[in-house]
Amino acid sequence: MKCIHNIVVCLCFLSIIIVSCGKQTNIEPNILDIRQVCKLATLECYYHNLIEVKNASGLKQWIDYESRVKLGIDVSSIDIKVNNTKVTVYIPNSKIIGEPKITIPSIDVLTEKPGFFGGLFKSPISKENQVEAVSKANENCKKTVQENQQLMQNAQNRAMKIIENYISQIGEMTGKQYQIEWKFIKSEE
Amino acid sequence: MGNFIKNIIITVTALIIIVLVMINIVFPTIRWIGNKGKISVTSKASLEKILTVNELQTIECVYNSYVIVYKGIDYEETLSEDATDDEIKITTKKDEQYAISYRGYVTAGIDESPTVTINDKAVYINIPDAKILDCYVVPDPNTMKFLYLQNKYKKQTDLKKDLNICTNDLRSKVQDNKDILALANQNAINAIKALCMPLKNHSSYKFVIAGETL
Repeated sequence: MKCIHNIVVCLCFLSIIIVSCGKQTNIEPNILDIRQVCKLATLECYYHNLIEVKNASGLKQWIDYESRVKLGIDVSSIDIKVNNTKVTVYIPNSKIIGEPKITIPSIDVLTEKPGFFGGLFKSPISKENQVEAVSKANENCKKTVQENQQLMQNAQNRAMKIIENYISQIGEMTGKQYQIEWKFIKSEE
Repeated sequence: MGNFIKNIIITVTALIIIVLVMINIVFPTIRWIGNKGKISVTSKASLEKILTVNELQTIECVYNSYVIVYKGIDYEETLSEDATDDEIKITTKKDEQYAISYRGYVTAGIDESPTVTINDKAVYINIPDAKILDCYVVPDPNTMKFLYLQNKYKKQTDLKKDLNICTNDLRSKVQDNKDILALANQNAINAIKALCMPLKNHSSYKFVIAGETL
């Protein structure tokens, strides 16, 4: 009887130890939650742009168009390491997600009017020129967004703020004060 | 006999502890019952604090475009800050002189904090409508190009006047641009969803953000 009693008391203590250890690890920042919140951090931007097209004779045309571009970070590349209260977040640079979408009805074309004498030496801009220009506009849109450091940085900051908020909320729930260290991963693209 | 009863009491108490501990291991979130279902006034205040991360609730858009300058308009006078669309459209196509291209930026988003209402089972977050908060044209002559629409017209560069014309054009174009406002609204909703996600995952409350359940 004494033996059973001792075993039960030992089990009881063992369980309490297991649970008190478990309490520390039950809720802590995890990669699945971070990926979930980062998906929502994607920034959809409105982009209005103007490109100049010139045909072989030097006649100029401006094409004004609008598009939508999604900027964000590749959630599959994000990783975290939690070491007690230190959280290291491995984060890639923001990039364009998918292809920019040009809204076709928004395309507006303005052609230079060289006047009678000027016009003698300049051929009108053909349909082919315009089709080429629209395709150029598409490429141009992607390039100009990629080169726009401010837009890309805004998307990156947005993702970082949201991750930071997530970690600090988990900290508040568990009574921990996490320190975040950011490690930037170089994008393969 | 006394020892026997003592042993039974200890054993039963220990077994109860073990059973409770096992339940706690199998259902770890049960520990949060105390917090779950009770988003207190303090939590409401902290929720409101979380939602005031303003930079997440605005977007900056690039708006590069052009404006046509017409003959016979005193742009200094008519294209003041109060100029209406009708004043801008009073001219006909034959009066077109030249066009100026410009590089502009528009900031749109929410300038008020979302409102939070909490009842027994749900947290409701209402998001105010997005607005155009700011727009400006980059005052750099290198980014402003000209396209002549009448051969006889020779443009004398006047940066201040051109900038005024471009700024007013940008302002009138973005004022009622529903696409920009819709995107600004959607981005703000997504940011708020992301900010509320950890709370939602660790409470029994339902989160309803701008009418959508998270």
